[in-house]
Amino acid sequence: MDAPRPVTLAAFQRALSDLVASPVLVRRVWDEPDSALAGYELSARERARLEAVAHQPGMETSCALYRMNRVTPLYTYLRLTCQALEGSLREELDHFWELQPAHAQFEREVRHFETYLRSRVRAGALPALIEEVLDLELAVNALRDGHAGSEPSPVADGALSLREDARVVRISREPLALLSALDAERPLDELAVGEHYVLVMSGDDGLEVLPIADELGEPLLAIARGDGDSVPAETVELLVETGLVVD
Amino acid sequence: MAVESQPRGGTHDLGALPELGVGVLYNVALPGFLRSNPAAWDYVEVIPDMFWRDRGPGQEPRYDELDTWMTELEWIASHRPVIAHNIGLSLAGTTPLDEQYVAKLVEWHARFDFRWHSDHLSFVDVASAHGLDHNTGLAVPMPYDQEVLDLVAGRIERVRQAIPAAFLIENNVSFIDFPDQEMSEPEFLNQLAARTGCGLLLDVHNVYANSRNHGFDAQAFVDALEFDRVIEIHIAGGTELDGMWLDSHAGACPEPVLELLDHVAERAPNLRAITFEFHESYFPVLREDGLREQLERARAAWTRRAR
Repeated sequence: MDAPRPVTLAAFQRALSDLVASPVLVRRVWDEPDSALAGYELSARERARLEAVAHQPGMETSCALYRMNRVTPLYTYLRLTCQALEGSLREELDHFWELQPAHAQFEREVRHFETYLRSRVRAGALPALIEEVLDLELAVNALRDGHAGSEPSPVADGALSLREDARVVRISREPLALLSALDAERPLDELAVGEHYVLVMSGDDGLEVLPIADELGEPLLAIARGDGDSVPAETVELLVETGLVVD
Repeated sequence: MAVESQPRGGTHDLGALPELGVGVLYNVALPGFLRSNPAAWDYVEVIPDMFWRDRGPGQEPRYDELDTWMTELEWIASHRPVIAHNIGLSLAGTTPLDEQYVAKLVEWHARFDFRWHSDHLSFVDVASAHGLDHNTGLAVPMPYDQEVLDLVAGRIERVRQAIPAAFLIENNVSFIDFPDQEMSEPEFLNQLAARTGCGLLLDVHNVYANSRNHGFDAQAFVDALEFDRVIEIHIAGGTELDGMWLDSHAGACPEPVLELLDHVAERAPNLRAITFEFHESYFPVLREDGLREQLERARAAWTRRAR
């Protein structure tokens, strides 16, 4: 066997980590090793090693652990969103993992998945409801422990803003029915479509998630988005009085 | 027995390290236990990365320390010794060492007076085809070859130049077995320790897992190690998945792991610490009684250690 050249060690690591990340690549190495490993500059010994380990049961275990490690932050911080994806969850995860390399920090993984899901909704590949559940969950995360949460929209100096410990989210399904269906893993397409708003607020007794009327939700959402000028003055006055809005 | 080393960054007499006793790897289930069971533990091992949010290379500031976690770390450090178990040095990696990360460890070393540092014999960062580094999603092992030994030794020496403390390398759990390796794992670890002056963090659960998964004699494996390099021992529980034993830190230690602990503790003259690792999700199963039991079992081995 030839001695491995230093330049190939990086390629070997890239190939090995790609195998761990992709059961599809592992199967390609089984079926057509030449083309599967063609993109890596490997010594003969490194190539033989990769072909050998691809056939070992431990490679399957490594692939499973890689996926468990990557799904853990998503299920920890975006459990409802994962449930809302229903039957497409696995396909979306595979697609996401193919596009986005891993990150050791949970928050970064969640941020990357958030960006991915929003782009899928914008492209019409996923229903808008996914982004609504995502918004709700990020709002809860922001006020629960500050991890993997939504940031308030930037607001110009002197402009109206929502109080720091509150978030408002628009949802196209009745919120309690939606949460109940997600919790029970019931199909979401049975829920009636409408316009609803949820106020998420942290208080002395912990986090509150409250369905609120459209008349309150619409202006609060506009203010949260930095568009307080579109809200009638008398409504602003009322919201400032409640303490929900800061002038 | 004094085991001295002369890395470029300075001399650290492994034998002069403090005898810490029995401790636990920090997780979020522990604050209550640590306060209500002060006699059960002598020190805490922490993974620094769990205490901050990493905003990524080049960001300023790069690390946001997490308030609630920092409150716990400061409480622990004000009561007992703390040691650092790092996960981000990617010691077997070919990507450039993350100097910002090392600088953060240096800063934390000064703040928390870590008795020593450790990391794993694996890589967690890799360069993509486009040259951008990213995480591997799993600690990936490397073959035990001279080329890899040179690589790991160089990185350890760089870390030791930066952090004024003893450094330990932890043996791997590996589910794959590379053919045609130039050294056995014990030979590799012995040579690495001799060359760099690092100590060994011997994870006997990893040895047990590898021995089950790859069919070798766990005791013969540990007997092939230079016992005077073993400074710390990790013990843990695991789980089986499709016939493979995983290092899932799933509660209580299997009996063979405890037998290995006893075997090594009685032979490692520079043993300074025995650390129990468990994942917080298993705390409801383990409970305080179970955790105390594991630490008492570790203390029994500690009491019988070689001196």
